[in-house]
Parts: sequence; C-alpha cells; structure tokens
Amino acid sequence: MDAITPQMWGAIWDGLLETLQMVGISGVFTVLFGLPLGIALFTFNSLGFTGRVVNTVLGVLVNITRSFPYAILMVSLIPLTKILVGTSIGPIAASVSLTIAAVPFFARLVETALRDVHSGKTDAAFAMGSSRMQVIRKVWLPEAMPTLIAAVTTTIVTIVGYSAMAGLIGGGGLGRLAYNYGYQRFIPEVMVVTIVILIILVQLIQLVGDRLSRVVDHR
Amino acid sequence: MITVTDLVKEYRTKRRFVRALDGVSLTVPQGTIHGIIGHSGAGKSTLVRCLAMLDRPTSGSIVIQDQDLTKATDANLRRARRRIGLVFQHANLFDSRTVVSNVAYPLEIAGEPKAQRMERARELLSLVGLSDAAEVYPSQLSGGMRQRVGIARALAVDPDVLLFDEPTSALDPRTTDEILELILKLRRPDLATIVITHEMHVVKKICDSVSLLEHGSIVESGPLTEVVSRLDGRLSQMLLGIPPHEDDVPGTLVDVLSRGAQANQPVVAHTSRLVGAELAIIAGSVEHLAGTTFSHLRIAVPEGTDARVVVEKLKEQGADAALTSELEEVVVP
Repeated sequence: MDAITPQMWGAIWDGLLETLQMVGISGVFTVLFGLPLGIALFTFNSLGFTGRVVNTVLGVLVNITRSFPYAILMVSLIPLTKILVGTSIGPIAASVSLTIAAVPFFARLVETALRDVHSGKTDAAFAMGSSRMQVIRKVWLPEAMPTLIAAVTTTIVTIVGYSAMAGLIGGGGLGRLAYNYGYQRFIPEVMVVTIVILIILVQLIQLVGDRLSRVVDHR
Repeated sequence: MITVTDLVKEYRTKRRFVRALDGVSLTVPQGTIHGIIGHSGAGKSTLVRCLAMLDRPTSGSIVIQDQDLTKATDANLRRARRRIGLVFQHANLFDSRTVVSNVAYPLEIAGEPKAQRMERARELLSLVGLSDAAEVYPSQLSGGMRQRVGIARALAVDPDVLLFDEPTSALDPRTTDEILELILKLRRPDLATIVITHEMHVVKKICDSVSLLEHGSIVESGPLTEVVSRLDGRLSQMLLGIPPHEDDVPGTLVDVLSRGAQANQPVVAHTSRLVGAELAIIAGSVEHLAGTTFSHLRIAVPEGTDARVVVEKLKEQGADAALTSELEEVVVP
C-alpha cells in the first residue's frame, strides 16, 4: 500500500464520488423513463391491433438500443450529450449515455415483472370496476413491487459496470482512475484498490436491494 | 333477477372458429341459488367471463334489474360490472394488501372515503367470520380463509348478482362444506346467486335450481327437485345416480324413483307381494335434496315374472319406474 501516496488516496476518493454521482443521476433518470416505458410495453400488447403495433414499434426501438455495445453507444451519443448538457466531459455528461443505455434494459425488466402478476388478479380488478389506470397503479405496480425493486437493483449494478467504461472517454470516476494509474502508469495497487471499492459498492447495492425487496414482499 | 338470453360467444383464432357459447338462456330470480354444472370444455369459463363482462359476448343479452349489461358503453361498463360480485376458484386476492384492504378495494376505486370503506370492510369480514384476520396478508391464510375474503370482497360492491366460479374446487371436503354453509348463510331476498361448478356435491347442498351446460348450451334446466324427479333425465342420473354394481345380475333390471313420503315407504317390498315374486334391490341412492328425500333404486325382477307388470305396479303406487335397458346410460365422472 506504500505505493499509493496521499494524493492518490485523494484521487480515489474523488473518483468514488464521481462514480456515485454518475450512478445516482443515471439511476434516477433510468427509473423515471424506464418505468413508464416498461408499463407501456406490457399494456399496449393487450390493447387490440393498434396497441400491438405500438408495442412492436416500442419493442424494436428498445431492441436497437440494447444491441449497441455500450462503448459504441457512448461515443455515438457525444453530439447529443453536448446539446443536452453543453459538454461531453465529466460525470454529468456521462450520465446521458448511461441513462440511454440503461432505460431499455430496465424497461424490459419492468415488462417481465408486470407479466408475472397473475392474470386472475387483473381479472378480479377489472371485474370490480377498476379503470385501466387504477389497475396499473393499485394492482400491477404494488403486486410486482418485490420484482420491480430487484429490477432496479440489477439495473443499478449494471450502470456501475457501464460507468467504469464511461470513465475511459472522459466520464471520470473510478473507471478512469483504474485505467490511468493501473494500466497507463502501471501502479497495480491503485487498480486493486479501485476494484475492491467497486466490489464493495456492488455488494452494498445488492444487499440494500434484496432487503427492500423482502420488506415489500408479502407473497 | 338476472336474465340471460341467447348468449353467444365466438372466438376467432388464426385458423379455427370456436363457438364457445351457443345460445345460453337462463333466469335466476332474486333470493335463489342457481347451479350451473358442466364438465371441462363445456364452456363454463367462457360463461363466467361473459357474465362478469370481462369478455364481451358476440350476441345475446345479460339483463340485471332492467339494465342490459351488453348494451353498456365502455364508460358505463365499469359501473355495470359492479352489479355482479365475482368469486374466483383461487380467490385472486392482492398479495400486497392486507385482508381488510383487499375487501375495501372495490370501495376504494369507487371513491369511498377511507374511514367509511374500512368500516364497511370490517363489517363484511365479520359477516364471513374473519374479524381476527383483518390486518394479516393473504399469504398467511389457508385456502378456505382466502375464499372467505374473496366472498367478502365480492359483497363489498353491494351486487345484485353474486357469481361463484368453481368456489370450492380447490378446497378439501371439510373446508368445502364450510364455504357452502357460508354461501347459504349469505342468501338474501335481494341477491341472485349463480354457482358454476363441476361438483355434484355443491349443487346437492346449496342449489334451488340447476342447469346442465354442455358444448356451450344448456341442455337441461329446472328446480332441483324437478330435474331429480325425471328418471330419464341427465341431471337426475348425475345427482341421484345408481352406484356401480355387478353386471351379471340374473333377471330383468328395473329403475324405481320415488320422492317425499313415498321414498320412505317400502314400495319395492309391497310390489313384491303384489306380483308374487322376490324383487332384489341391486343398488340405489337416497338423497335429501332441497328439503325432500329422493330414492333411486335398481331392482332385479326374476325370470318368469313380467318386468313390465312390475313397472306398472310401481307406477300405480306413485313411484316412477322404467326398464333399466330403456333408460339412456349416462357416464358420470
């Protein structure tokens, strides 16, 4: 550990904060955009012919975004990022491509979670006179909540992984640190510390996610 | 009163054209319990979904207290659905809500204030005998208790019609009886009850009238005591059937059906004396249905005695009788 100077510890700390910032911002926006998209994917399928057309269009868009390797996606999104946040450097800029990469992934998980809600519950809700919005808000989302929280957990862990990659093209964070010090300057200790921090971070996210999921699970 | 007239439901799959309901007509007055019996594939599930307006029927009408549900526009359909309380085979409760909140759900979506709907839900829970379970989650309840919650929830909409879809098919015999007792207890002068089932036991225990659904249409229907009295009726053979017996019985077989006071009188012994021959009882069933005792016996007339004379003598005493060979055989599952 002697190879790591106090300045480097400072850089590691800053890197961690940047990573948390990237993951936090894109995590929030992913849920904000991905949840309605996932509900739309699931709902439109059961709304007759027009619904199935909308569903297919949404599905193709989601699949196109998901087929992009993240490294390619983030480079190709640089112009859009510049328009949206004014710069293509830094954790906030990186959040744009992270969100766009994670939204379709999360939306698919939401769709699957809703599909797992037993159709008998939907029948019961409609038979009692619920409107479509009431079924979504009061039945599908609460009944799927344990799976939805697990989906958020998986998505955030995925974003942590992507954020390390985002670091390479100017996103900052622990990813850039590991690359700059560990690979380019060859100080393996920095790389090891970075990886350990990332492992702990992922473990913590998973732990909190599992706990929350269990708290709301009454099945 | 619910009146179903000529209900037809057709499905178009890619290649096939399925007529799941082929003109079902039915009337159930308030205060009565009507059973609809049918085997799997007879169209029971489709009928339930159409009656609850979960699927729109292709044609025909469902009239509840002068309102035709099939004519309701999409906007009115939500309100129309509340005229029917639906109880499912597996209760279909919401796992994320406590028991009392499940029962309050229909009132919640109707916009009833929280205090009122919770109070009403607790009343309904005590009606079905579950006051103590208000705050627990459905997964902590047994199948029978879940079904009670399902019934309380169906009553919360204050329906004109209570529709049960195989309410006891997933329950053990003892719990089945408890649920049937509850359905009887809930009988009210302003409530028409329909129970769709494949279990004869359910019909025998709670129904005033019964219909037999087969291939999407009702092939036999009537008050329980009436359908059971028809010696050659399908429902009679299902509800008051002759249990299996040996095939190689010597003599001619005769079926005898008697009801009420006659069922307890020794009609067969008396006929024995009249024709001067020993009539052996091969098999039979005796049931107490809707307050009346019915007996259906199969007797063997020895060779040398005219079985048709025996049938005549039995009929003279008020029983219904026929040669077994002339009755249509019905396979009872």
